[in-house]
Amino acid sequence: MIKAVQVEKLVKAFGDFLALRGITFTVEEGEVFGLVGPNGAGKTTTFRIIATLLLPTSGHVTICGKDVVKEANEIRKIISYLPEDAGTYRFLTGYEYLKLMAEVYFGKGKDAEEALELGIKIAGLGERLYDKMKNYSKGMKRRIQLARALMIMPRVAILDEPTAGLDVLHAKEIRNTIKEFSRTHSITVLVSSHNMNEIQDICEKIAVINEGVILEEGYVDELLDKHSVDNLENLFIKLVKGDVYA
Amino acid sequence: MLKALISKEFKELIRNPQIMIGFILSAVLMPLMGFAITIPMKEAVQQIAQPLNVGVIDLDSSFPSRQLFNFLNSVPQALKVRLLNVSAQAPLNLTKIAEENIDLDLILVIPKGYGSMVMNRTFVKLQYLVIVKSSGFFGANTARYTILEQMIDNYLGAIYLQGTGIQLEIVKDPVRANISTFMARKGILLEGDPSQILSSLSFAAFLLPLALFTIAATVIQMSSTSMAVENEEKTLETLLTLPIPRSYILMAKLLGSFMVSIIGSVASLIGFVAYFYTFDIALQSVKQGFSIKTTSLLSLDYTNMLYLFASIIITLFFTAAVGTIVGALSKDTRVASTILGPTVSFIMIPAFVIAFMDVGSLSPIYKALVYSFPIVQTMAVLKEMVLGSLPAELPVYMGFSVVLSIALLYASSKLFSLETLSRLQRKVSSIRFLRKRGSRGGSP
Repeated sequence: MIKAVQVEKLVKAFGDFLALRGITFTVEEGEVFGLVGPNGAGKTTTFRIIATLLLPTSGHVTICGKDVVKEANEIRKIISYLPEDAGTYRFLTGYEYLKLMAEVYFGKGKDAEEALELGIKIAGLGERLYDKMKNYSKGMKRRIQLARALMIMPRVAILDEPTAGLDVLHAKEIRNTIKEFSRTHSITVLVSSHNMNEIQDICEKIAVINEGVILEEGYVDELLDKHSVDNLENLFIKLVKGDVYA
Repeated sequence: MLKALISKEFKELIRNPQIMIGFILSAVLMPLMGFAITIPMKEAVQQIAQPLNVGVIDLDSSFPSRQLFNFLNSVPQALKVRLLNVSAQAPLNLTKIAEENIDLDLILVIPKGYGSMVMNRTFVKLQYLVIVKSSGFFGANTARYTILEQMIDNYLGAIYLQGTGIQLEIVKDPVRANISTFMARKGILLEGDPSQILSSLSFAAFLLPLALFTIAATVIQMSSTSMAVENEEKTLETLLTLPIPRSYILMAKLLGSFMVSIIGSVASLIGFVAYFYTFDIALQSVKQGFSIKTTSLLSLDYTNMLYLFASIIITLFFTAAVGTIVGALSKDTRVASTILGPTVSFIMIPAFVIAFMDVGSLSPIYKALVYSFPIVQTMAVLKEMVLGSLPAELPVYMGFSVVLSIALLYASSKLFSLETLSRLQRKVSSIRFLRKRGSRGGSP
């Protein structure tokens, strides 16, 4: 069976600095997979390589069986990527932005209309959708970006820190949307966060990354049992320092 | 797909008041500037129409000097004369006299011996002290003493010629010249003094390049900012993961900027044309001293205007392309602004040199270079369509400049990946960082 995402011995160097030191993990189709780790651990670099933005220094990455280096154009048709802190176009309305994205993926036709309709539903901004995005709050901008990423029904959605900088209520809204969407449409979702508890809320499977190395990978419940800890935060501390109470 | 992206770029730019402000300002400010220039100009005209206040110091007290005073007093429409009482024995302190008679425009000093000089029909020495009360751009007030000088010249000339039967006018200006000018490179014959014709044409040929500089600088600023914002806001990351060719992103950015720049440039050009007309109207109201007509450029033939239009379009395309590339290399708008200065200088200085150079006298190779490089080409076209003639090979040169712009875009699209851009942006930023540190005197 083809894996949704397969990362093998992935290395990424920026000059002398090794951002990724041979990481390996797999994601099955339909899974919500979390890459969890502190700031600077290598989450964004990993996601950028998966999203065809950066080239690996060595190692292999495939998305639904396609190689990110050799078949980047094919991969871009089946993925969507939500960068951390992605901004919006100040002078476009939310509606115009979603319409633009629908047209980029599907041209002008029924598919584009359906995608736009889905985007409007995910964004849930009501009449504010027709305001220029410079007037949106951070939460509204994030909802538009999330709608953009999900409305095209990608086979793999890559969401880098989707709730970064949001307050508790807005973060919860975004998490609910991701969970609901993956459940309804059975798409594969890759989420990264430095907020361990958030990942625990959304994901069934995770990989813990620190300083460019995967420390542990597996189903959340199994990992918590294996390490005798009650949450991912304690799991991370135990993996890094050897003891939760250290 | 490309159309949707271009539409996005166009909307983002045209709705941004900060971007359009440069164009709108030139459209509005230029006619206002022309209007502002007319105010001192009209003042100067009004001053010329007023009688000149003259104080006369007669140190000779002879019959001819009294006759001169009476003559000056007999033309009240031109002169308002009063005698200043000064002791002929004491040393003449002109500073003190001027301070005591500050209402005067001019003090005429008739020296001792004036009478005998007139009687001997020899050169007469007179002293004029011009009192400057303000410094206007047009200098009409300071030059007004020439009115008095001319009147005295004519008065004494007429006295000297008394009894000879010769008319003063014939002696002063015995030749009635009809001057024509042949513009060799344009192949046209014009009535009038070449210095006046050339100053008229040079004025237009100098001012229009300024308009071009303003427009080109605004376009390059607009496109670089627009691209740098994509980096800064991380919207470029999203674009680069879309299932579209990389070149489409760059092309859409370029064409969007190009379309907005055409609209903005039309507004700016209207402003400049309005400026020329405002200035022309003001100049026409000043009868003396000026014969410059700035709108002479606008009455040139249609073929030349078509070439100029095509060249401006190429320049806009090129500057938008350069701006887009500068923006792509900048991780934020501050870096873009920093590297924009040297970039603009690099492409504008050759064009500025051309504005002062005789393009017609260049060797064929240099001429081909000048006409093949956008901006420099537009400058040369502007200059030569006014002062000379455009080369027959111009369409070929224009074709080359289009190819150059497209090649630049093509080469840039090959670099257009986050990997390459990130690497280049880091290098650009480090250059800026080092320069900043260097200016603080720190070690690298």
